[in-house]
Amino acid sequence: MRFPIRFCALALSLSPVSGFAQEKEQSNDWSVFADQVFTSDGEMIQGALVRVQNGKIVAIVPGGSAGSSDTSLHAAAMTAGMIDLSARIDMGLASVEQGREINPDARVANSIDLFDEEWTRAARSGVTTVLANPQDDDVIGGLGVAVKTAGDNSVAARTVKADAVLRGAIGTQPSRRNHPAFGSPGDIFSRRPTTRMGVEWEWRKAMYDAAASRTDKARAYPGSDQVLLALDGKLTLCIQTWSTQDIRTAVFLKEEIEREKLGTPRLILDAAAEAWKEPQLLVRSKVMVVLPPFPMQGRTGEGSFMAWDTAKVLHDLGVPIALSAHGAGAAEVQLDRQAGMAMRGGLPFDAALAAVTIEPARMIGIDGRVGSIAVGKDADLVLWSGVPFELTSRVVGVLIDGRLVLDPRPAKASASAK
Amino acid sequence: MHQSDPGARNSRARRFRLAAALSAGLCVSSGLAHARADDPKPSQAKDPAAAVEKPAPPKAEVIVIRAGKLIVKPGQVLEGVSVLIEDGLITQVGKIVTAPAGAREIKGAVVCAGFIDPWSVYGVDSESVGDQRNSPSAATADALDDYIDPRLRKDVLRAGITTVRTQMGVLARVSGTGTVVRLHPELPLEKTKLANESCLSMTLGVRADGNGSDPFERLSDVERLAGMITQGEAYAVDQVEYQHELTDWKKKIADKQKELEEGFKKAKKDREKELAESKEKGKEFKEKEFKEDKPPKAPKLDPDKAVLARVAEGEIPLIVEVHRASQLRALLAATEQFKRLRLVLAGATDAMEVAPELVRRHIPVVVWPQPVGANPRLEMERFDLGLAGQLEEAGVTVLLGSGARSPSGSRDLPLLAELAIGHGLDREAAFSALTIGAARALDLGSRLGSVERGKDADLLVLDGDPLAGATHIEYVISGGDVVITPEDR
Amino acid sequence: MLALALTLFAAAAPAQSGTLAIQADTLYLGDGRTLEKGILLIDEGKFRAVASSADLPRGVRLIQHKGAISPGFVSAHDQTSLGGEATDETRPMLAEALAAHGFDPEAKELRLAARAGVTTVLLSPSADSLVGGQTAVVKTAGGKILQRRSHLALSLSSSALRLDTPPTSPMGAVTALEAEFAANTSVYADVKAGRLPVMIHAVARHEILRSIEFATRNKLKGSIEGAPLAGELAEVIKESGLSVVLEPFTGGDSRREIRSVLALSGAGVPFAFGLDAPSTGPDALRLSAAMCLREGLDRKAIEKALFSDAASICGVGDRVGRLERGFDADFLLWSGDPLDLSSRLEAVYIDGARVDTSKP
Repeated sequence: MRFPIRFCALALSLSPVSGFAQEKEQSNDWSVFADQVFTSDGEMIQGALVRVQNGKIVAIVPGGSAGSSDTSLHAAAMTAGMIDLSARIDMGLASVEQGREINPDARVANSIDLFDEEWTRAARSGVTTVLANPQDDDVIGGLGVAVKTAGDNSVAARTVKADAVLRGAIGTQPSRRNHPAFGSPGDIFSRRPTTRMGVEWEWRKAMYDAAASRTDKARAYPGSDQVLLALDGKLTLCIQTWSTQDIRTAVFLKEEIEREKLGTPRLILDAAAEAWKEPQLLVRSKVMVVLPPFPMQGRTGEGSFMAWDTAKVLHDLGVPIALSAHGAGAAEVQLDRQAGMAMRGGLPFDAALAAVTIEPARMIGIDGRVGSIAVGKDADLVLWSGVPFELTSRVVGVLIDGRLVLDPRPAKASASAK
Repeated sequence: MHQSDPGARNSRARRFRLAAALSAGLCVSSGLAHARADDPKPSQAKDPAAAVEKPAPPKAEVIVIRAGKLIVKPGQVLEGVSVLIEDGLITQVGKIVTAPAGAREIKGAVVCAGFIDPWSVYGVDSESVGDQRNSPSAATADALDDYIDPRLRKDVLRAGITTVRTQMGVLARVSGTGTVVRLHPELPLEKTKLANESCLSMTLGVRADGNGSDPFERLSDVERLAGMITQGEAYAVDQVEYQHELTDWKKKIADKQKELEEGFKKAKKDREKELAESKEKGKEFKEKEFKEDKPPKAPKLDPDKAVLARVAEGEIPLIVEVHRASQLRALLAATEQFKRLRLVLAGATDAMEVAPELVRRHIPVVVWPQPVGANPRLEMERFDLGLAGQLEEAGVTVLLGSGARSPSGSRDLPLLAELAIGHGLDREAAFSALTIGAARALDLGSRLGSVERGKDADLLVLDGDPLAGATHIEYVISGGDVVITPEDR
Repeated sequence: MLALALTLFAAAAPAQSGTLAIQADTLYLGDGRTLEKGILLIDEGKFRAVASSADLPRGVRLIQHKGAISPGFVSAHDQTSLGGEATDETRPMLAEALAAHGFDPEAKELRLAARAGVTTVLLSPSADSLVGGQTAVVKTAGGKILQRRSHLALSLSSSALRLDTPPTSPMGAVTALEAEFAANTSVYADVKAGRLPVMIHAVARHEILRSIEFATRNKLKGSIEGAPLAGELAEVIKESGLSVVLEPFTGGDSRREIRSVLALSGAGVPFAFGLDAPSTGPDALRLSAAMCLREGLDRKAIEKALFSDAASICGVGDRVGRLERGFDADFLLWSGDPLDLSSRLEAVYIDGARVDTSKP
């Protein structure tokens, strides 16, 4: 109830300088105050000031006040920048190397278009880091990259972690459009799997060949080194598995690798809509899960069925979960709404917050830099008009590496919209 | 003459009245007299030239321009004169012009008329520009897009272009009629139309995909074009014949009316008798038919042919984009028979091959002096930037246009004109092409193209001679309003 | 007056067995500087002196040219004379292919180029292959190949990607290129050692970024080519040390693209225009310059882009592109300022010999 008054005062105090501030280089040093600061480390601080310098969080001062200088920001609530491990900001088919079905050496960092509006849209919706993966038309599509959604015009400069995951898919998507070798024999689609079984065979062959290449160099193939890293658990595997049968295939493959002593892979199942059906399987095999966006009618990708309590079921069993939005589309399906929907299915607030911040960061090993509000971490902050994930709340401010992407100050916001 | 529709409607109305008057037994004469009174004379049919919309009332700013040098028109230069602009018109040009109170004064080294791009697609919505299936009656006036980027409009004005003839369907065999609009940053194009249907445009050999067609198709294209004009001519003849028949018929009606008036009592008696007889016998009564009840049949209205008729009669010019010598020759041969046709060629890459014929028949050529390459996929592969200069030297009337390929093309027309000068076109001829020459070709010579009393106030104020590389345009005045100032540069 | 001076000049040229002395109202030196009433002394196809006064050899008469003289224009990217055979479609990578071997000295486009004052062109394989081959620098008259191997031509644009031949994706293309560079065969070794610059074709801004990041990772020198909006990434390009070759403007181009040139110039990125004949005519170089000038580009910057910087980008900056002692005597006689489109080009000299420009 205090906010409207404060916002008015803020608007008044800032309006005389707003014109001037636009001309000079925008500062990256901020004092950000919120009535509620959700750190994602299991702690909520009532009224705290977060100081930002040179793109990093340098201090968290409970009870502090931001003052009303040109570099101070206020909001009702603050969280860490959200992370989407299945943002699907790819270039569509341009992120699919069609020449082979196994591309562990292809870096999706080289198939990114930073000038796509999707990036800005994601950033302004509060998603500050995404895992960019190839579109899943190959069995092994390539190496995903964790990238900030705003910043310098350089993929390298925005990269949080290069080669963050080895990405692939199990299911119908990799075999879609492929066909037996009739017609033109040079057609690259005739050399690729046409069934789920074929897709699984490609996976197993890639893994066994890579494992064999440890001793027999002749079994090596382009990218087998990356598959070896994945077998050793040094490079996280991220596999799209929508339905139960695909989840089983992936889990059985992981267990087979371990049983055969070929390695100990770390596995993320992406888009595992039917993970709620056999959750014990996931507990047993210690896999991590990225859930697809909640479907309105239940049915989602590849005909799979996703229950409202999917996130809750997995969370209750201790399976690490992250939520995703599959692209920053309309406001009602963006990542903050996914958290809201998971809560509607029974997920507690703290778990929902973790599932869009620290949990995905841990899954791909970038929690040292992002995922929570802590001193020394990147200043990726989201400011909210009220309690996060509530339908009545919205994202009003976003900082990425200390740079203001969405200005919470009313006068500035309208000026930057022009 | 092309206005057949109202005439036909009126004749039907009259026929009804004649029969009805008799059947009701009313005074025929009064009925006929009434009919005559509200019958518009066919000669008063809408004249397209008169139908041109006046520009919206401009802002009431009075402007006085003090010119160091005034280029009245090509070849006529006055030093130290002033131009008074009131209500969008040039009202005074002279040494001593006293500015009325509150008039805005602008000083400039050189003042000249605004440039005209006679070959542009500015302001036409992009779908219509690429339309491939137009017919002659398709009107660019219906395809104007006022939501065009205002910055582009300013860019074009800043370059000194104040008026464009804009055209839809530029790559279609038949593009439809073009429209002349004045550019004004605030007025919608609809309000600045100077001529609704300024010309009919067609192309020969030009294809949207950049591929020319085979020789036989090229020749049949020319024949098709000539055939269309023949149709237009026939349509015009039919219209004239119909008008004659209509006049004859009117005369007959008048005679009959007189006859009826004279024998009115007898005719009424006869009719009543017949009516009674038929009642008695239980027969159906038939009104007496007069052969004069049948009016001459109006030719079927065909909007396409109506436009072609205007072209065949020379009311509006026919602009044909054509490049290759073979088609140029065929076109000239096929159109020789149409004595009233006013042909304008556009592009005309190989025009030097037919230059004497162009001179003899006073056919102007709109050249697009653009640095095209020798790409054989284009019709212009043999284009030489010297074309404009060569044609001018041969005595052909040369106009310059921006080629109607991109809406921002008009912005660069002055640069292209300079390029043509650099390749041999006389500077004054280039200036004339962009001003009075283009105005005359578009039948707007009385309103645009020179700085003379009574003309529309479309002017440029420059710091040096027009069409010289170092010159900057300081002010642009369009329709009497200052639309570009030095701050806009 | 002009015509008289010219005829004298034309008549004098052959009589002096290649030795010429000519004085013009203004010499545009090609690097942005001018010299009023400067004298050019030409002997054996080279400039022997470019100065405001010179001791003339015995028997050489000083010819007066009323107007300006500039170096010949340099087109920094061209497929002129390759006759539509600028790519080998069967192989996405063919580093050893030399554009010099596709050079047809009698091609019509070369005559057209010479006629418009373009004296040097960089022949490049087309952008339809990931590695098209190597560029060559040639003169537009006389058939001289100035430099047989100037760049390795790469293409990271979508036009190099085909669905029927791998690589089909930008990332596949980069992976394939990285593998080639890692293999360190002769051509790539030259590139990595800095002996052979690259010319990377890129159009969209993300393609430009990808090219820059690829070049930076592999420490490559050279240019980005195509790139209409390169100016919007001027700071990044400046940091990479790469230069930019732009397609010419032909009238009606978007103002955003013209402004992009200004941004490049403002950031201090060397740039030049290519002609990409045969789709654009050689006069597009001057038209591009005029459009940039109109937009407010610094005059010196555009002169450098047409002459000295263009030559440097082609790798022949020490031989052509300037009126400078020891350089090839490629120069143009103008009725006035060469950047004023209404000035007339009155004579074209390549290697000290007048080029017949009477017929296209």
